[in-house]
Amino acid sequence: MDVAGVWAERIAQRFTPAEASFAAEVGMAYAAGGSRRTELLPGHSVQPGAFGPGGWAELPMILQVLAGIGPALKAFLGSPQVANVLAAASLLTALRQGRSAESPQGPGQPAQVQPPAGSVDAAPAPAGNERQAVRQAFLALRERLEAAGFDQVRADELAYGLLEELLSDTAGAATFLDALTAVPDDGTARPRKASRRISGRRKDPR
Amino acid sequence: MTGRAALASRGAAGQLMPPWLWVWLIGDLAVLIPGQISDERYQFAEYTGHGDIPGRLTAGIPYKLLLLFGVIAALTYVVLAAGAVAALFPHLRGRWVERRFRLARDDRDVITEMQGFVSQYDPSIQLRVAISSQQLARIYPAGWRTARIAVFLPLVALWYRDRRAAQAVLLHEVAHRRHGDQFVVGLGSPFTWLIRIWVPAFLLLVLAPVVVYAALGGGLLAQAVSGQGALELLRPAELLILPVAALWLAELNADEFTTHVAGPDALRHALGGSKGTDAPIAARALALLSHPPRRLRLLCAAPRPAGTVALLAAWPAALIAQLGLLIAGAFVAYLLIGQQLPDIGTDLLAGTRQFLAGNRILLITAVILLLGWPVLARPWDRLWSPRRSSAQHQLWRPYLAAATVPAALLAVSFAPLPASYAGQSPAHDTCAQLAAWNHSGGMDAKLRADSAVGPVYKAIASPQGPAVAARALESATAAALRNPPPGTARDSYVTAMTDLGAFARDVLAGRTAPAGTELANGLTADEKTSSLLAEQIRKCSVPVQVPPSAVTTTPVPSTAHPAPGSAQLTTAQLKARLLTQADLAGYAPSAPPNDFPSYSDKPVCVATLNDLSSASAPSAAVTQATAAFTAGPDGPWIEEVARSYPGLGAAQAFATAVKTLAGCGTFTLGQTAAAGTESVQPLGSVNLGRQSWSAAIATQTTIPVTEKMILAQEGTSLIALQVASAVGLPPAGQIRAIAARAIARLTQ
Repeated sequence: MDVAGVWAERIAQRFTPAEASFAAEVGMAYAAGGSRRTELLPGHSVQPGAFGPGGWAELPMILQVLAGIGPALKAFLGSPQVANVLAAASLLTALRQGRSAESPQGPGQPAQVQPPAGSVDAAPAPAGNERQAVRQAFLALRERLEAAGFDQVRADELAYGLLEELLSDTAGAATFLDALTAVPDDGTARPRKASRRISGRRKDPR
Repeated sequence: MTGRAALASRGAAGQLMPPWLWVWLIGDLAVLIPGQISDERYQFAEYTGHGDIPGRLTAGIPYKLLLLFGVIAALTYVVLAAGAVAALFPHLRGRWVERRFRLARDDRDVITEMQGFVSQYDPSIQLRVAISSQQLARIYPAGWRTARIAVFLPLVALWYRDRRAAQAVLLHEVAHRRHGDQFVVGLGSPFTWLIRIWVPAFLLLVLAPVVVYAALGGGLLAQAVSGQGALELLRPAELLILPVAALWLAELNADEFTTHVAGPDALRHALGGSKGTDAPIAARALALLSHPPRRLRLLCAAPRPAGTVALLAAWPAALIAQLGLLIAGAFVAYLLIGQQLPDIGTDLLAGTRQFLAGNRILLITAVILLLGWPVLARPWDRLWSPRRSSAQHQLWRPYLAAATVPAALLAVSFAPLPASYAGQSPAHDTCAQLAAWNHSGGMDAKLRADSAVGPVYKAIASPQGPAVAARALESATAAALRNPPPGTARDSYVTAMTDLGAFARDVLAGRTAPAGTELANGLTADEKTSSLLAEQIRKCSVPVQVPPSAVTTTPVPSTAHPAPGSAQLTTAQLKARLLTQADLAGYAPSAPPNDFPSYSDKPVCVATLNDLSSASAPSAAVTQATAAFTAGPDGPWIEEVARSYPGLGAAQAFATAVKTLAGCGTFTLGQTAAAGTESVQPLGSVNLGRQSWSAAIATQTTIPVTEKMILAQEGTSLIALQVASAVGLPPAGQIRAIAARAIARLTQ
């Protein structure tokens, strides 16, 4: 299994466990590009009267978002601000605690992340530049996810979690992003804003 | 317990509907396509000049267009046949589908669970997995008695998130297999693919010829083409109704099986995945060729007894839709070729009878299948699936009710409707004869004779004398008499050519007096011939142009006297130059009418006609005199209005009146409200005076009145001659002779 398969499986197990069975194949197919990638994304070949694929398959869409923002994420992961893993971890903690502190939702509801605007008491105060870099990466990723059809709450949850995963292994993450972007889109595999149905079906039984 | 609920309670493997797809497929291959090939061959022979229509006619653009329409329509049969034939090679399709979608066997837990579920209902079906998110799951054949279901990634996710919805999707595919649908529908179906690409291709191919056709404009040629063209263009739609209905019903039947096993909610959840698709409108419209709309599927998922009967009767009822489309197309076609409404009614009834009679085998099959399906469902199920069906016999009642639809259509096919078309009785033979007459040069001979009359008339006063022209006319009329036209125009044609020939001989012999009489009689008969031929050609839709009669091609001078000067005539002078009783044998002077209509939806038209009928006095600068005569209480009536204008007023008044009347068409009229209609049909010049114009006017009120109006301007004078009747007008030639006499008196 190549790096795209390993990371796809890792992402699926955390965010889309219902798709974990074939996650490695999905990651490798996406990295292969061409028609194999195109077929991973819902297309117009679906017959409206027939059973549609709906928004059940999220993993390909997540990979598509990561590939789309790949160069920016790679730059972020390689920046001096996140070179110190401890500093990056503290930034994420600040993000998480900021979300918990400002969230009115119950424990079962994912809360929207409010990027920390000021200091966070429970975490060491990172430098202003570092905080700003993490915040920008988070916002960019969340925006891409929303553009791909994820609702705001799910996009928020995914953006945070994906950043956490990527920051936990920045070198491996960079290789993964390289694999996703090695073969460019052929024009047919593009983000689609149609999958509004993705929202509201996030809780997997597994 | 009734209807579907009752049906659903009978065992786990019941199939609600007979296999309409197979009925259509066999009927298409065995009956429809061979029949249509024969029909197309006949039409191609017609359009290319190898049939009854002479090649000289089919060489024109209209028949080339018809040929193109015919070829495009014939391609629909090719597409349907290709789809049907391709369904007969399931092994090839199976291999192609697995290569195209990269389908592979898989033994992961989730697939094993799905396989176990499917095997409960059909152990012969195997699952194959595609790393693709394009669909959920689709059945496809791998052989005559083996089938597989392609599972796509979204179904795997759905299996964990909504197990019942995922099971509903699999059950739907299992139902297709147990109904034998997988050969025609499902993944990689060449049949549905061909239908979906053919419809836009057809629209594209038709668009260009139609634009060209529209550019051709009206006229007899275009008229002849338009009727057949309308039929050709609608034919693909007619052809697609039955297969598309069968495809829809196959889907609804599979849904019914799913609802029965997993419940309507599971089906609704499964269908929810396709809600709000962002596919383009065109793609959604094309998808309707193979799948019913999602809303309809959701509606049918709710068990209703009446809905069950409606579903069972839907395919035979599709024949009614096909017939309706056929009738609509034929009606438009008949209107386009100018067929009379009574004839259209007769033809449509005859067409209905022919359609139903031609579909008797299909109707009988539908009746037998519906009545027998409660028993046949189980062996049909076993035919495709090795699993022994646990289905019990279905209830009879819904099938009995549904069978009444094809039974009723079958009964109507034996009803005493008109058996032959209005245009196919003796008239059809006449049309063929007319086409043959034209093909043999008959119309050309008439044209030559008509054209030869004018030169004789001109040459009478020329220094060279009329001998050469008269011999040419004599020769032309003799040739024309050797080939008279068929039908109603024959007698007047013979009279016209005989009289014109006699005119030529009188001129050669120097018999001036009888020559004039023969000429007048000949022109009258010739004009009648042209009128009858035009009517006959219009009815037959023969694409030929009727040449104008000798009356309009002969430049008969308005008078032998010099044209009047530019001086305006006084009222007394006009009065003295009106027609007299001596000019009109059989007519007596009468009072001019004075009860003219004042109300109309086109007041300017009524005002202009009233004005020309002396209803209103002209301006003080214009002098006027009128005369009226009648041959009886019901007509014909003759009214002459003569006016003299200062300067160029006559020409201006002529132009204004002609311009107004030419655009009138049909309009209402009455005294205070609409009491009838009047129509003005321009007929053009009658070659009198400096300029002339004529029209046929029909008034539809309590008593229909027909009228011919001739307007002629000469010098400062304008004459409006109206000959009307409630019992029939005098011959056109006679009316023109009266007008010529009026002009002659005016300019004396």
